[in-house]
Amino acid sequence: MKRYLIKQLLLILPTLLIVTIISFAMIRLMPADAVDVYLVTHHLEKNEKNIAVAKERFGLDEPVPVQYLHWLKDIIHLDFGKTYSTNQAVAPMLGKALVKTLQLAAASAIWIVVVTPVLGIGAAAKPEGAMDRLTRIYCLCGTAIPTFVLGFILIRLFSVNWKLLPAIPDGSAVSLILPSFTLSLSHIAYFVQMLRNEMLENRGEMFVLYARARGLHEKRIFWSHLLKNSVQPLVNTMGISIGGLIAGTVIVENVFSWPGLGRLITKAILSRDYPVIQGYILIVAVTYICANTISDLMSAIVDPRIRLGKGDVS
Amino acid sequence: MKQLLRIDNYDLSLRMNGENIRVISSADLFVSEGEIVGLIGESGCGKSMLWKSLLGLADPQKWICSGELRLMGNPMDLSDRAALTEARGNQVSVILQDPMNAFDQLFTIERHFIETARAHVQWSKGEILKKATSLMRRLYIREPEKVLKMYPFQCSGGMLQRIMIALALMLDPPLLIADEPTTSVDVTVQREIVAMLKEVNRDRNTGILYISHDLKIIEDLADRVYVMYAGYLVESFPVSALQERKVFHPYTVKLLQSRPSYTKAYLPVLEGNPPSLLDRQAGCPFAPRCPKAVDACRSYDMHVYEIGNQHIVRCLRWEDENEPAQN
Ligand SMILES: Nc1ncnc2c1ncn2[C@@H]1O[C@H](COP(=O)(O)OP(=O)(O)OP(=O)(O)O)[C@@H](O)[C@H]1O
Ligand code: SF4
Ligand SMILES: [Mg+2]
Repeated sequence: MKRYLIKQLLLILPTLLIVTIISFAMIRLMPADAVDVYLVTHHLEKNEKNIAVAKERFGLDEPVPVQYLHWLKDIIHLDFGKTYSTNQAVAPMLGKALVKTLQLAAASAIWIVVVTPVLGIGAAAKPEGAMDRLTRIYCLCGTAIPTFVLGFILIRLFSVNWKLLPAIPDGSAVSLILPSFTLSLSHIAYFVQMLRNEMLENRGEMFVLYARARGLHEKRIFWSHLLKNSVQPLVNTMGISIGGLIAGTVIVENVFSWPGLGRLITKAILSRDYPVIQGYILIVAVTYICANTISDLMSAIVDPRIRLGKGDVS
Repeated sequence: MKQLLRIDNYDLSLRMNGENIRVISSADLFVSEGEIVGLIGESGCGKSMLWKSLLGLADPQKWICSGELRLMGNPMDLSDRAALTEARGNQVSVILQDPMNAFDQLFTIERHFIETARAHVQWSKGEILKKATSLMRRLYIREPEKVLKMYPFQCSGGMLQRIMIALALMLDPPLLIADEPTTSVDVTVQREIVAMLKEVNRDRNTGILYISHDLKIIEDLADRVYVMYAGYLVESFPVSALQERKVFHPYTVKLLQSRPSYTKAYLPVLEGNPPSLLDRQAGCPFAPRCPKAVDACRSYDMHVYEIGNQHIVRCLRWEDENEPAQN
């Protein structure tokens, strides 16, 4: 385990370097570059002089590798640069948005962790029973309905028709309910199906037969052996999926006007705000690496084979 | 002598596409106190389903059983799941093949002992572990205290098989069912396990139903033998009949012949295959492979002939070879 952590730490830096280099290059391949957009949005004539001024101001007059090194040097000092459009410091902007997105992701994670076992276990307890059928319909809808459609339906029902929940963030925890639920729905559908199938599959395993043969009661087998063995493969996927939650907020944040990273990045891409995009990618990369590490650690907690190393006769 | 397990006229069918397919037909079998009974037959003939369904381990949605079952002399209702659950691990323990998959890899050996005991008795953790260590020590497992803390994947197959025996003996069951416990271990461990079961049988007077397709092991271990073919118990006899070549059923005779002396004892040298579940026909199921088959075999109702002391056979030819029809 210790060796794993050290390896993971050693991998972080090269991974981040590669991700940022690739994204750095790709951003500059987008049609209409930062200077064009800047000139248009600031109603400046597109001539040699204006282009040169803008380029110099953004540091885009240098070759791309040099730009990258400059950026890297600044990042090491936690300086994310200034936005092209408004000339504000990027770091606090990203920071604020990150906090908002983390709130959203955390709330979604709570939905996932609470709802998945209820539906998954409920469905697996009685295959083809009422609960199982309902859950199957839910899973079908959950994966088929696009997030923005679902978001609008929920706003229509809960905010407009019934006036139960706010659709626009007002800083209260209540305003988190709709966006986080929307965000979590497809994830829940995915995990519920996975948990149910794992449980049904494990039912036919030898360890269940052996537990029964030793006279263990059906309930006890279900709640200890079956559940633990079925949750184990979910833990890893769930950890990774929580990384996906943070990167996957773009649509939900735009539908609910949630001032998080997703909204910030949409604006930044439209205005070709390279420093913001670059910072966002860095944050998402770090999040993914952390999520991966955390999910591996959680797997190790649940599964002694990972924790102790399989076949290790000590 | 007290009969630990007894079935009479036991049938088991499998529900498949709306049809009921007979898997075990009118089986009569018993195991007495202190006796080792061997059950031998080719793969798929129904050996495992026999004990699984008797102990309530067959999915009732899929399997239908009927007949009489007695455990420790008491009649049992085959559909009384609660009573059967209570009996399992307590009155009847099982030892399975492939212990690597039978143990739950996410639970320590200790947890396996504790949960098994707690399913039946109110012992404290200390009592359970004390019993477990002493049993493991008697089954030649070194450092049992350490082994208890280990996970199944940290143990070897042979060790797990021994732990399985210890686990089976924890509540002192009068009857042990061993379903091919030696198939997944190497020859040395096989011998050890067979020796251990003999010892258990001798020291505790435990009755053992030993299922195998290895005639050599059965011959070495059992006091009495049942031969199963396509769901029928076609012959049963004291083990001495094997040595004295006094078996009658053509299938049993073939088994004995196909055994290549005393080196490696396997069944498959037999020509042909047993009928699959779906194309079992009326009459004697062995007819297509039987050298003695006559036309009447195909309409034979498979009733039993008692041909000697504890010697029973289901073969039509017994009659015309030994009790010539009187005119
Ligand atoms: N879960 C199941 N569903 C359908 N058919 C089954 C199932 N389990 C067993 N069978 C069938 O029932 C018959 C008896 O199986 P059983 O497991 O008792 O054989 P066996 O004699 O123990 O064989 P082996 O020596 O391979 O263990 C076989 O023909 C098998 O195909
Ligand atoms: S009944 Fe007929 S076919 Fe069956 S074993 Fe006897 S002789 Fe062979
Ligand atoms: Mg079997």
